[in-house]
Amino acid sequence: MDIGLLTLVIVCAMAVLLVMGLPLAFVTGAVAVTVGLIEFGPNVLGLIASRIYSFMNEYVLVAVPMFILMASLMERTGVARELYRAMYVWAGGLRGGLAVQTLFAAIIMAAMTGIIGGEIVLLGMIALPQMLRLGYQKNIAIGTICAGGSLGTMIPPSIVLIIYGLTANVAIGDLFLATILPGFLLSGLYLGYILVRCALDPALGPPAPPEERCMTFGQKLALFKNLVLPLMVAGSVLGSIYSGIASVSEAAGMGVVGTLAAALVRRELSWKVVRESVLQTMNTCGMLLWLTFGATALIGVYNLLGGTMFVRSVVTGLEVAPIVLILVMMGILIVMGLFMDWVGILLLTVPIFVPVIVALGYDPVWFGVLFCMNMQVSYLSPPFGPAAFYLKGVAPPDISLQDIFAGLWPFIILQLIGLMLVLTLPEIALWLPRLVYG
Amino acid sequence: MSRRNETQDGWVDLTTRVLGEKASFVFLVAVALTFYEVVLRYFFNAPTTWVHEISVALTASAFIIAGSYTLQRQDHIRISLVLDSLPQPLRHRLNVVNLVLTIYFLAALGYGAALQAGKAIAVVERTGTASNLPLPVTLKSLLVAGVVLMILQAAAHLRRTVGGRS
Repeated sequence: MDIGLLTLVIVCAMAVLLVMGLPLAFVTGAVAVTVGLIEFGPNVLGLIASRIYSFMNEYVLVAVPMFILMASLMERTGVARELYRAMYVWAGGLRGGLAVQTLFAAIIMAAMTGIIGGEIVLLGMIALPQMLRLGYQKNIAIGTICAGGSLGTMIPPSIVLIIYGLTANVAIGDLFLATILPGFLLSGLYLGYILVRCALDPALGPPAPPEERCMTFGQKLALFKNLVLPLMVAGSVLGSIYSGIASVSEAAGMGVVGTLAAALVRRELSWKVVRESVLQTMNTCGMLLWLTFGATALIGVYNLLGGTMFVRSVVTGLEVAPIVLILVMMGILIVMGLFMDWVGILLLTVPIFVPVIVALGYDPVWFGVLFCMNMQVSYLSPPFGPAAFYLKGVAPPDISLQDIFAGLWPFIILQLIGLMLVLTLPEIALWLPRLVYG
Repeated sequence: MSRRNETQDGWVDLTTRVLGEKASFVFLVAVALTFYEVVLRYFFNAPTTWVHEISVALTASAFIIAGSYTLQRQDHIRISLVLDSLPQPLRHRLNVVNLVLTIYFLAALGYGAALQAGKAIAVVERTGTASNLPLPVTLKSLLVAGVVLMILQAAAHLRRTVGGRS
């Protein structure tokens, strides 16, 4: 069959199977197997198995369960709660101060973990009741938690970047450096939005009552005492990656050791906590890894058919400016983000898009940052924005899913502004890696 | 998705769940090995040759087993919005089709994995590095076993679904 027609058939078959409710891992796998058998015969199956086998043997992949385990352990200990409490007292008389503190807590948590979900659940349980109690408008409170909590995969370490690096064959250290400034850019946009909105309309985010603010500076600082160890863990994980002391996988492993040590010192380490954390890690790995196996199979077969070359020749043959192609890719990512999870999108698009990006003379590291920012949008965008569903699970019953999505759209616009900024000024992403690696 | 009553579980479900629970501790072993390696390298200046390979092999084995664990819990990521809005008889039929397709993919993958494992066993494939451990042959065989377990697990779900007790 002609490769163009075959591409269409593959896309349609996948869409139908997905809508039917077949898990994505088996959708890609079943399509890959069928197309492979028709075009190449049974020997292709050995090839698919060996591709999956070599993917499993990537050393960087060891970091994935470790970062998940680290996050699961942090979720089950009191670190996050205490972090929030220590930040909370600094809000003072500032309008919208509590939302600002929530955002700062979210950024620090994002630097400690690399996944989305746990962070939103925690903030939803801790920060949302506080903000609602002070009379914050629902939309501001919800948006801050979901957008801030999603930063977990934007600010390094990030599992999205690890899988991107593996798929696009880009150094993960570079990616981790390149997302720092764009991560702060997004945080800055959120921060500015909260402050401006609350300054214009004080009713949106009233300051804490004076009697809750009468702590001395020393008392406020004392609250940080218990946080020293967890913050050191986060700092040393990132520090050892950036300084080159340890590989990403080793740093992640040491992060788990540090988290266990911190929990032990805080007397929160129990058999139950460890057992639940490793089980959650197992389940998340089952979802993530089998998705990658299925996609690896499909991309392998598609490459054999000459699909990647086909897409590249079609795209580069178009008589349009390269920037238009980038915009089209961004559009595709955002539309897919409405319906699919980031792993699925990454594994299906990146192997096709990145060769095109490189052929056009762009930096795949920069594209990785753009990808990551796109996924930030996908976490919030209806109808399947996972951030909204995580928050719904822990929010008070009178907050509906509609309320949540209503609170998210201003932040989606901010994310799109951030995305456009990095798109037009690649230096925001590339300046730091260049500075460090020359 | 609601978890089914555990008393309905047969021996396949039990095997998958217990195996998954046991295998999840492999991650802790990998963490411990990484710690050991880092300590040896920086404090005793004696890096090992095998920690790197073993931790990759350990996590890869856990990934293989995680497939059946997640399948047993029916937690593999899917879009269930359309499925959930369909009338019960149609949804039931689609669930059957989905499970058959799952088994179809896994059977094909299992065949491919068995081809690879056969070759690896014939020569007792080793890593070919300084430690030269027989990891490839072990992992390739494990992949076959893991896929077979997933097929059994999907078949158990299928039997329940067709039996109408889903």
